Amino acid sequence: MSRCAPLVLAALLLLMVCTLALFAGSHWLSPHQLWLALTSSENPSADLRLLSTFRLPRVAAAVLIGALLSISGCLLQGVTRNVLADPGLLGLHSGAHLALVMLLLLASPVVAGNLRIPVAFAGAIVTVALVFATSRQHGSTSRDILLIVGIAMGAALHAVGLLIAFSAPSEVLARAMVWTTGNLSGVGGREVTLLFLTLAFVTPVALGIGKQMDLLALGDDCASSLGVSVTRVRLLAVTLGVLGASVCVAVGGAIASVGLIAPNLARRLVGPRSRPLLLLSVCCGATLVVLADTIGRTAFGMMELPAGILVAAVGTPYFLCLLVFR
Amino acid sequence: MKSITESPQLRTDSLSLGYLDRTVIEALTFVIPAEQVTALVGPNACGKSTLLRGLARLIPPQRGSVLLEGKDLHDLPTRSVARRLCLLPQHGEAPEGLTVRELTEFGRHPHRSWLGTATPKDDQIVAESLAAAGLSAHADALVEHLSGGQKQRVWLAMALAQQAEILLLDEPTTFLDPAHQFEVLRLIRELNSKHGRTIVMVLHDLNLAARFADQVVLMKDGALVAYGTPVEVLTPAWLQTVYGIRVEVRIEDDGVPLIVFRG
Repeated sequence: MSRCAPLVLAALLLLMVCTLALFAGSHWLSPHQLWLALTSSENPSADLRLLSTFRLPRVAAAVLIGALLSISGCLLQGVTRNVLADPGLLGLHSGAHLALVMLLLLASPVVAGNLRIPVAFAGAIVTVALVFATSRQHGSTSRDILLIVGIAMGAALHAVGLLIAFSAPSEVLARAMVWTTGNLSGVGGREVTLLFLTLAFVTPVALGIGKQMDLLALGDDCASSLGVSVTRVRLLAVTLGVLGASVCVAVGGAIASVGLIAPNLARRLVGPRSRPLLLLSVCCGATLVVLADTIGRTAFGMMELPAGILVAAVGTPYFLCLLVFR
Repeated sequence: MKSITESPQLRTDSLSLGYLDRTVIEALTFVIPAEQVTALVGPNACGKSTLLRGLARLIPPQRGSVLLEGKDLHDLPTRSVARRLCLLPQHGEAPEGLTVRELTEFGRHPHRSWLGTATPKDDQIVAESLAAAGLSAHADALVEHLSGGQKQRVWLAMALAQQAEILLLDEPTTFLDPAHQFEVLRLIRELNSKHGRTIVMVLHDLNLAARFADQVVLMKDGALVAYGTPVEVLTPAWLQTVYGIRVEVRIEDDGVPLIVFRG
């Protein structure tokens, strides 16, 4: 099978899932209604408004978050030379959660609502910076120690965040829960723009360092001997990965394990080389998040299930199967 | 492939190497013999691998310098060094799912533009490297499916594709059975004799060093103890000094010393 075939198939699948996601919802649109909504330019119908204000941004956000988290996963797996690494392992979800809980406690609901994304982003970035600073020993960072410190720091900050949330008024706990469980309801044009700009920045750079990332996989000595500036490439990859994942966490909360599942699925289909791997991961990750979000808002009647929970529910067993039946 | 420059290809100038505040190699001045196979031998922790890593620019000198045709290695751009000098680490680990050809192609990296697209010349060099390593038939096989000896040959094919005139090999025969050790060392000799590569390799097996190296460097505690042809260096007296073991050395019919351990 050609190496392009999985990519073309995955892109088609993504397109299909996105189209389906536009029709689906508590109010289902028929293809005919969709066509009417899009073509009748005079007095915008309710259907068109539903599409443009709710579904389109939501599907777009799901695609972008899936894509960004997948790239982030690829990059961090490359840097740590550990295919089980995930952006979440660096503790950024817990950092964002803690920052949001503090924000909800200290600021009025309106202010908190406005500051939600920058504060969550700052929480995530500061946590990762702390993880890197702590795991630095004798001027160098061991990959294994980095992941262990990340997991430990994540657990500690999560505990602190929960402790504060539980001792606070119950609406703080509830809102913090909604904001951090990977929920895409309420995303609008602003969030989509932010995600899009991040993706537009991260993708070309990630593809650009693809060859160097391939060589990094052979080990530092080998990569260096092949002419790769190891420290520079690694720093760039980590920065991009953390940036992408933090924006996603800030906008959509913890849609955990996409960054783990999508690259590993893609790796089985196209092998370990960075560029095809990145492109296919993006398609897989986007499809996964759109699918999870669509199922979440349609399958359970009035109750909407956050995409984060569904990704975990679908992804984890799938991932265990991958490990067992490899 | 002959080097026609005046200054020696690769040499060290009162080079001190180490990690953090520990110095492993102290003020070593030494010329790597060009277009020859040199074996670095010595007891564990004598600084062989450290020296090799220093020569490959992987650790910065504490004092002194490594000179590539008279220029300080650390003043040269990484990619231009990579076109001249190649190091194969002891444990070459390829990620799963990589084919033999893909791994070999990685050797072309220092010669490519930043976009990294392969030219017909790249493809030709990769094909030649695979042929030289006897891997043409396995080009599309996955690296992880090969035997230990074949794997090591893929790494050598990659090094060959890199077209660096100096190859630094850290224990290229570890984890290989005797037959594969021979196979790999024969290929290394060929890289020297047919392709004119200068080779410096760390070896543990003295008899393999005696058979496959032109020059032997005997090291102990970070210092160069003896240096010369296998017959000159691998003597009972030197080996007693360096390893503290009693050996008997017989010269075989083909002139290669055979070392027999007496305890």
